[in-house]
Amino acid sequence: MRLKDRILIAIFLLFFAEGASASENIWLSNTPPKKISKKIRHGMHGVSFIKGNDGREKKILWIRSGSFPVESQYANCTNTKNPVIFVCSPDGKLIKGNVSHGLWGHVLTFEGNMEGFYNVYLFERFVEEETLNIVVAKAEVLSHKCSNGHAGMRKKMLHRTFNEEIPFEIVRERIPGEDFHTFLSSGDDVTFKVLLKGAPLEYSKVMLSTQKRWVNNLKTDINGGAAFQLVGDYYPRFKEINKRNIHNFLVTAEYTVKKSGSYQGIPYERIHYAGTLGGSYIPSKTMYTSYLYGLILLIFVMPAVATLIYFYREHRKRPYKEYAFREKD
Amino acid sequence: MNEKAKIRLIIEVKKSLKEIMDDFSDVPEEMGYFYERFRAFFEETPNNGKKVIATMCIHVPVELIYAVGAIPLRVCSGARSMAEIGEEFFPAKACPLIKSTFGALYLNIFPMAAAPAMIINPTTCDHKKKIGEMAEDIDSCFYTLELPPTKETEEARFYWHMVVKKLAKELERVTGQRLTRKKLKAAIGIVSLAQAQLRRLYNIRKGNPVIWGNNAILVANAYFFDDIANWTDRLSRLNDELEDRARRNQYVVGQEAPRILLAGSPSIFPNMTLPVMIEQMGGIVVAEEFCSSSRSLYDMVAVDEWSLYDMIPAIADRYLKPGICPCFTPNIDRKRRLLNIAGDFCIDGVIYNSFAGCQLYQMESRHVEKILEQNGIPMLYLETDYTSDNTGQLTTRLQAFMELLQDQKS
Amino acid sequence: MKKIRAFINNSNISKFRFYFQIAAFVLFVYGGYFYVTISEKLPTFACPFNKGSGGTCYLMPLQHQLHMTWSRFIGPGGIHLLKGFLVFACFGLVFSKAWCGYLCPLGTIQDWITKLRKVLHIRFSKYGETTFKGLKKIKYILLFLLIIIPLGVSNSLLWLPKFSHDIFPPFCKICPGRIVLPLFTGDTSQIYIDFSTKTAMTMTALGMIVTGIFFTGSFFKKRFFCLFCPMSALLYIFSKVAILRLNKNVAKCTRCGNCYRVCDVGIKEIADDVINKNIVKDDCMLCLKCVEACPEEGCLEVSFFNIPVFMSTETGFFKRYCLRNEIK
Repeated sequence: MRLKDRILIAIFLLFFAEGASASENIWLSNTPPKKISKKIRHGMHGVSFIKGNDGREKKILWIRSGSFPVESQYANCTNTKNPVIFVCSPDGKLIKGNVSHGLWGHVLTFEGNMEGFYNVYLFERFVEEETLNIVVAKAEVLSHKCSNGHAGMRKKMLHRTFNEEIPFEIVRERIPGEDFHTFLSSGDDVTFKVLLKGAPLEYSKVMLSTQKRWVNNLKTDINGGAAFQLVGDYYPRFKEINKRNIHNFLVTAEYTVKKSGSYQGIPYERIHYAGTLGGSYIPSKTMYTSYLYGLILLIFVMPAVATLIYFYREHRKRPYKEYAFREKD
Repeated sequence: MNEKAKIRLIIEVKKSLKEIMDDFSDVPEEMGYFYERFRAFFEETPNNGKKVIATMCIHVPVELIYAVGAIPLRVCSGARSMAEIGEEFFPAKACPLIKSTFGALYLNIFPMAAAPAMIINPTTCDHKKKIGEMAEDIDSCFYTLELPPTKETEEARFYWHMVVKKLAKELERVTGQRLTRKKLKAAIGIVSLAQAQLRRLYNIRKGNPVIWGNNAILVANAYFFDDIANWTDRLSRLNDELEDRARRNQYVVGQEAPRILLAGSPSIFPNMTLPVMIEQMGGIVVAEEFCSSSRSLYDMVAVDEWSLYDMIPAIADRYLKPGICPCFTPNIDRKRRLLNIAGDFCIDGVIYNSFAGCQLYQMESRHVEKILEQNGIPMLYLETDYTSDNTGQLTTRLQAFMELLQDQKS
Repeated sequence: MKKIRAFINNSNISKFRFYFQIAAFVLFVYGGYFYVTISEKLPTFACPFNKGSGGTCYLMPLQHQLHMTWSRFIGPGGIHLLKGFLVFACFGLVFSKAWCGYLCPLGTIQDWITKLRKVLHIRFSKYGETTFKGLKKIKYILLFLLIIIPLGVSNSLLWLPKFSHDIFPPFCKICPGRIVLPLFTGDTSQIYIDFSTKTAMTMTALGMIVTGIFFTGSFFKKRFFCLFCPMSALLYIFSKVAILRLNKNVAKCTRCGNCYRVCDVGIKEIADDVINKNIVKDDCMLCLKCVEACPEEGCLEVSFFNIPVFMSTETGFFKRYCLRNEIK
């Protein structure tokens, strides 16, 4: 694809995306605001840690609002005063999560060092313009240290859903061969599944936006899945490639159903489900590695060594040679 | 002179053989074959047109000779009559074995009346080194196999490998046959079968004596000139018989007989005086540390890959590394081996024989005696010759030693 | 009991080893597909870069555990390191170097390459004594580097700047196992050169070169890579106290050198050392070919918990070496 085409498409997508996002989305991000990023300890997979007042380390997520990762605000508030915080540890126990207004916005903190995925949800329900909004911001926080071992990793890779508590959620299907050490990278095909009360939801609008506002919209298929390719949006000059450059992506899903009722005494005509799922990815390996050069080198070395050995053996067949001495002082 | 010497040799052979056959009773039936071989020592035997390569030492890799389709023939001689001939060419105090061997070469008297195409002469002792220069006195020509003076260093090993490789090339030239992988593998095979049988005989001799020591020495001696397949087959039959005797507790001597280890210069037929005398005095030779018997076939060739590049060095190593000839320096392995034999064979006493003139064995005797003494094994040091001049003194010393051993045992 | 012992002593352990190695290879290279995870501290090259690996080579976690700041050593990091080493030590103490000769998949591949060379009738190479002594030091240098570099990535050593993270994990970057073993599960993704930084490029290119040398080298030299393997150096720590031992009854040794001849690695001491009883050297892989090639009764002996399990016998030697090459 030529550069011109790319730009055209990008511009088109930009406008399209602007139109698509009617309301601001709330999502959970593991990237701190730039100003304070030095105070934060980063673990594997971009998990951020902060030391609490009691000296214990907590995992921290920022509540942000916006449809594109790079433009999202570090929100100073959420839609409601008392959002439901739901954190499930890898062993299936609910643990306490705190929302506090602290470092540059609202943050969600929780403790825990177990191996596996922590499922974190921020869940809100409010009525606005005769619509019951159900907003679910989700994050999967992977906690893993190689020193803890990798026993039972395959089991812990399975994703969990909470149909009772969380009515609407986006699930990222694992890519083939994924394990605790896998990092999504641009170019990967990722499928997101939208679940309404645990059942796959068809015709739901799913939008994926990358760090640099590349946007793709899809409707879920019969299995509730929407398959995206994480497009490469990192094109530095070859010499400046940073292979550890972590970018965020944001997935949002929307679904509106006509159903009247009342919530907390306020009647509504329809229910609008909105889910978000944040994540991060790194540049594709193909940007900076070469299979061909590796193969050429490998294939070149083998006969080269063999030739050396051949000549050494031939050399040995020659008669004995005198020892050489250096006459100079 | 040739005819006269030959007659004297024949008399000597017959006399020596008669002494063994008459004085020792209860001999295994299968020994008959070996007696017969020695009786027909000088009679011509057909060799299917194969070339004969004479060897003068155990350090000659016979596998290579078999592999090029030739027959090795060890020409080391124990005949007094031949030593008398050889006396002309050597100083008075020279080794009788060398004199005898050279005497036989001079008169062109070979076992089996063979006519060797080549005589391989390893440079072990000083005598052998100089014998190589005396080719103008005899009809055949010597091929000098350069044995390094030590076996400990990697340089010596490398050098010896080159020497053996050169020998392989020379053998190819002399016989006109190419050395191939299959032939060499087969050669290692036939030699190892012979080795297996000889080792079996030794294991039998570790138990209560079912065979006279002089008989066992004769058997090993026959390997010098016998067809290897025949020899192996006959020895295996003898071993079967001996094992059967052991099962029936049919021993040649009683438990009280002192078990003797004969060490040092080899007793080569017809020079069997020493083992015969020991056994006439009530001892039993259960083991020998002779280059003519135990040492010649004991060490095995093991190969990792059946390719010439591995087999030839493997053969070379087998003829150098386990060698305990006193021509090597240092020679700690010999003392270790003697101790090991003494333990394995329940030795009561060691009789260390050195030929007059073999300075290497003579010089080593002191260390050997010391080490044996430390391990509580008595040793008698003897210096003998092929002549029977000092038989009286020999008898006295031997008798005293045997009495000492018998006293210790009872 | 006597009969069983005689049967074992006369057996052809190389043949047993051949099949055992295949089984171990399947376990360590494809075991992951059958949800087998033996341990993460294995003293053998069960490469975690291979998706089907049935365990993890200890060098990988070792490098990771050493990749931490000094302060973390006195704390959970240090405990993890110690715990990991203890698990590794347990494996090492039980089977000692037999991990190399019987279980290591990379060693097995080298043995197969050797078999290929045998079929092609190309002769093998052997190092001279001095070359051998020089080359065998490389494994200690590699071991030192694989310990020091991770430390240098997270700490400043000798006031030098910290090393680039691209060098990490240093040994895995140059280990042929990372490239070769995934090939057996159809994964060629490890064949690459990383051009992102100079360090990354050097390390990955080095990895490719080492792999190339590995293939050719092990074709001409038996167990070529084992001489440089830092795991072999690490396992040597336990060989003196391990439960599985190779003992030499030095009095019975005739120094015929058969054991040295068949030794794939080329350990001369096995033939020449007549002083030490425990004969396991740093390059030894306990393949026990030496025991097979020893014609002296009970001269070389393998013991487990001080119980002799396999020893050299005359009959065994003749069975293995002589009777099978009788002239037809």
